[in-house]
Amino acid sequence: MLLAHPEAEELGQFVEGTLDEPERTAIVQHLADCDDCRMLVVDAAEFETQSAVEPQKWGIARWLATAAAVVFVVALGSFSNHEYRENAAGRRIDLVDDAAHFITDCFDTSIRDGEWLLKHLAPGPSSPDPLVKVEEDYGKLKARPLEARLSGFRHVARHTMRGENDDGADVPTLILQGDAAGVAELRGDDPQTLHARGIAHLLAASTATEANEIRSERSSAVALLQEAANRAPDNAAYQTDLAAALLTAGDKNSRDLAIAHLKKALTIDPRNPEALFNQALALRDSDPKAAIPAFQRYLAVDPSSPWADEARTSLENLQEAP
Amino acid sequence: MNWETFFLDNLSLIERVIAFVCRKFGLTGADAEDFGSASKLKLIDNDYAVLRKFEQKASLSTYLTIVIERHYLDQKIHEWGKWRPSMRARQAGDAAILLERLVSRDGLGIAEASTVVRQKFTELDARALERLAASIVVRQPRRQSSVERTEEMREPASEASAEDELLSGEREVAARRAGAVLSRELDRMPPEDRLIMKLKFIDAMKVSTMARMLKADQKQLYRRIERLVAMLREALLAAGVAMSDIGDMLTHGTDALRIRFAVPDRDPEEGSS
Repeated sequence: MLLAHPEAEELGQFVEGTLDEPERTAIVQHLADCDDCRMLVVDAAEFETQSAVEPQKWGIARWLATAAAVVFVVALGSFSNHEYRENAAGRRIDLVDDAAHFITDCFDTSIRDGEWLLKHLAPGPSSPDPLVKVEEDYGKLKARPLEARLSGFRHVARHTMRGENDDGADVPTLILQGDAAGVAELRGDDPQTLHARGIAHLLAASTATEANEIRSERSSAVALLQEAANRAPDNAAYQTDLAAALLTAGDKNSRDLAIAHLKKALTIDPRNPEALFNQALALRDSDPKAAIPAFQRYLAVDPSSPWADEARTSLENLQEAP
Repeated sequence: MNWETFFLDNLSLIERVIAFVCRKFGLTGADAEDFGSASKLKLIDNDYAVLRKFEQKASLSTYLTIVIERHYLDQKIHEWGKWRPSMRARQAGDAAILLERLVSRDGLGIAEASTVVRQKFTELDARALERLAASIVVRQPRRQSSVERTEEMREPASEASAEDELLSGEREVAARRAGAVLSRELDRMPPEDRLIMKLKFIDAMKVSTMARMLKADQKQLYRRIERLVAMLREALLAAGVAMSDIGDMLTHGTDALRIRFAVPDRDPEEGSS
């Protein structure tokens, strides 16, 4: 028997896996037979997965504020210690004359006393790029699945292999799909991880065969890339890759949005080849007249790569068009 | 707590949730704006009763997603009756929802439903409509057509040969038999198994997400799904539904439940765990 619909918050707890027995079992029993509530749960789970925008309980601003406070306290401690030692040595501290000594001392103390903090704050060795393997295997594809350029991805010819792949994906594509699935499952909400996950979903969308899957993966890709771009607004690559994802939708609104992001990318980095290339592609489909100078701008930056050959072909086609 | 301040502080989240629900149900333009305003009013109504009810046991974003989407569904019950668009149609947008509603709820044929859809969505060409029609899940209409035939609605052209029609009829019979077996077997399953099957095959939910919700180990859950699918296959075979028939039904879009009966070798999403 189907009982009354559970409260919204109880369904929310179920989605987040925080509901204890026996309430969890009751919800499972209800959801097994209630399509409406199951739909709510599925969509709430998707929103949680996609957005990654819920204000974090321990947000980065609070981290920085705390870090600054700790540095201040440690530095103050160091200063007192320094002053004490200087006084004990019978010498008054003079911050102007002794600045270098003081700063070095502060730093030493800070490093010693605040090692845990530095683990969080110091840039340290740069974190490995989660897309390294994906980029490598993308380069082995027989045909490029996306027309737009992705930042850091090498050129792959864009054949249309109609009829060749009727039996399913080829081996390099399967390998790439495996890589992408791994990256898509990464945890973390820093811009680099969000960007990598977005790219992984985008590649999953562009190599999928079912319309349903393509839409779902593309939607995840756009959400994640948008979030990466929001969190690192000065990163031209993130703007460019977001535009590449939007361009796969093929509709006018998405194309206009993509053009806006590409403009932003080119404001940050006016000679960014991927942004210039994608801008020309986007304009080719919406405003062919404007696409001609856009391709020319691209070729001025990159006159000789295989991408340039593609740009030249597109340019010739546009110039020949009536 | 000052609920007005709370509402304003979380307005950006509220708008994101509204945008998400609009996207899910293919609401755009004025429809999306109307729904956005109605949703905000719902939250403000009765001195922020909805927000006051929030006890912070779940995250605010999950809570709002459920509240706002439930609000949308309530509106639609009022408008459409107790009919729901399928996940497929929702993902495909407004036109697909309308097409599915006309076919599944109102009992129109695909051709006449397509004509109605085309009147509203003039930008759709015949190929786009064909793709939409192929993507929707055709369910048994709950009642006969309540839409009066207009002059614009032509009778569907009968181009299929007698042999095609015979094959199509056979497929339909096989699909109904398979659907009946599946429904019966799903009903026999314990609620959690039934829910898992629906989440996996109707809602296409990732196993990792499902595992978190059900507090289950991801790998064990995957094996459980394999076992349940195998059980369903056996039940179908026992009822005389051949796997080749299922493949045929899927190819020709006559099925009621688009379950992939072949046990996948490996679920890509299991790769990293």
